[in-house]
Amino acid sequence: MIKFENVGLRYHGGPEVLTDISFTLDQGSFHFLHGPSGSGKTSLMKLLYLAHLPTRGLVSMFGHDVNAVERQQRMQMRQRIGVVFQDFRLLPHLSAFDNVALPLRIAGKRPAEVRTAVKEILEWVGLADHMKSSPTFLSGGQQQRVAIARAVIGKPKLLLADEPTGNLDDTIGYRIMSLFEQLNKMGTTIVIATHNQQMMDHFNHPRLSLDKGHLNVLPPTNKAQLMAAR
Amino acid sequence: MLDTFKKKKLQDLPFGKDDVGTRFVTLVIIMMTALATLALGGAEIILSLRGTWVDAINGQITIEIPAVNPDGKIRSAEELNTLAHDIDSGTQMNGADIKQIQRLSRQQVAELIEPWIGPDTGNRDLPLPVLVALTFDENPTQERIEQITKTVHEIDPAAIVETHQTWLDDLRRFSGVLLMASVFMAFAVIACCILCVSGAVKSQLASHQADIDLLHLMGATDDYIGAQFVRVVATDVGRAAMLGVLIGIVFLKIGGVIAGGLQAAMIPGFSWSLPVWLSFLSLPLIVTSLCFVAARVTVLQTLEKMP
Repeated sequence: MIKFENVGLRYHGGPEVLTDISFTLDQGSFHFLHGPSGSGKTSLMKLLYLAHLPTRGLVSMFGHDVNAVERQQRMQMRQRIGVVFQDFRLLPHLSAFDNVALPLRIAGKRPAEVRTAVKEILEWVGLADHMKSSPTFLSGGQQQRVAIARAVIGKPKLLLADEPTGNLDDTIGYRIMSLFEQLNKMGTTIVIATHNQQMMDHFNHPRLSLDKGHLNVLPPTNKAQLMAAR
Repeated sequence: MLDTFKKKKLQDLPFGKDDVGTRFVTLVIIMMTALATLALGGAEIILSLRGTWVDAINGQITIEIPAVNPDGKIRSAEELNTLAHDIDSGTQMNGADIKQIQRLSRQQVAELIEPWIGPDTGNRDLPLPVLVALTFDENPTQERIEQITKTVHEIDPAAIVETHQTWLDDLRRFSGVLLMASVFMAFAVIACCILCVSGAVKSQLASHQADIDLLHLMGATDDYIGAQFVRVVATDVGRAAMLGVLIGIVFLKIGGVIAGGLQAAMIPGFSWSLPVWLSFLSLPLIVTSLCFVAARVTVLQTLEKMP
């Protein structure tokens, strides 16, 4: 579904922040993306959610070369991608309900359909009582849950999350990860950028490991080996 | 919840009503449409004036029998009367198309020249010309004027046949220039509105860049985002333009009341016909439509440059 071949990315003619990135994400796969700060995780995520186009190499998503598609088609491709940003990027003038409803409205869904879906997802992330609240009056954890609800409400084909459980307590964090697992089982391809080693070990998915702009694809850690090493 | 949904339907971007840019544009639109209304009102007044003046003169010829004969000798009252009588008869004989022949009295002539030689001219023993005003059923043709001139000159070679054509041409030219200036002013202020809206939209696009990027990342098309800007522009500009036109009409009416107090018979009244009212009422529609198009073009052009 997603294929990167010798992809390079540089900003405004500067040095390459990503070099010779090659990997494939099959439909329904689940990957963690990790690496130290400055390794290029955010840049890779931006390529994945089409905020940037590669400077060189081939990025193919949903069967299309992203450099070759028309702008309009790129917008349609973006509707199939859900993103949880590290800084949430909620619109403060809109209520939690309206923030979550945005992707459906953009997709042109009927109001009744939007209402039902938004209520359902907000109840699921435990924010049924905060539907009308502005994000400004929500805690960091609550804002993160709104951001997650917004990313998954459109049942995206690809879900990208940047530190999605960073501000959540363990219970909520694992509940959210379980939601991602459920979505994954329903066929959604998921990439989660995280520093949370415990989380990566617990959910045991292949890892995209970035270091100084270079990528290694690591297989899932064998849980038995892991336990033995400990 | 339903209310929340409906209210926010097309307001994904935070367009603040107290935004400095919004307030500035609203004020500019109000002032500009008020000016455009005044310009249109001015054009209407000029048209009415021209109509009144042209109607008053059209189809009229004035024959002047000079107070002195070609030798420079002052004509006696009897001589002038005889000449005037002959001209009356002469023109009447071949004038089936002449509606009225009116010989102005000495007092009326004196009133006409009063601004130049002072009051009480009629009572003084000054030699005054005799004026005969011919009113035709229709505006006479050039051939008809030549025929009248020939008849008059056979009676008095010194008589002057004045068709007022030169004055009418000057009036038409002058009022045409004023009319063009008024219409140009109306267009200029509308263009100014468009430029203001375009600039304000660009500034709003810049200030909401992060939110627009977010909407783009969610797959919002340029049309979807543009519609939000355009809707806000149409609402704000529409309201401002209506208020501007209302202010303009109030000013024109006040001007009409003041002009009415001048007792100037040649100045037309300030009561407007239906087409004039419609032109005033269509102004907000025109301004809003043009600003709508300008906003849409500006938004789409700017969004197109975004990734």
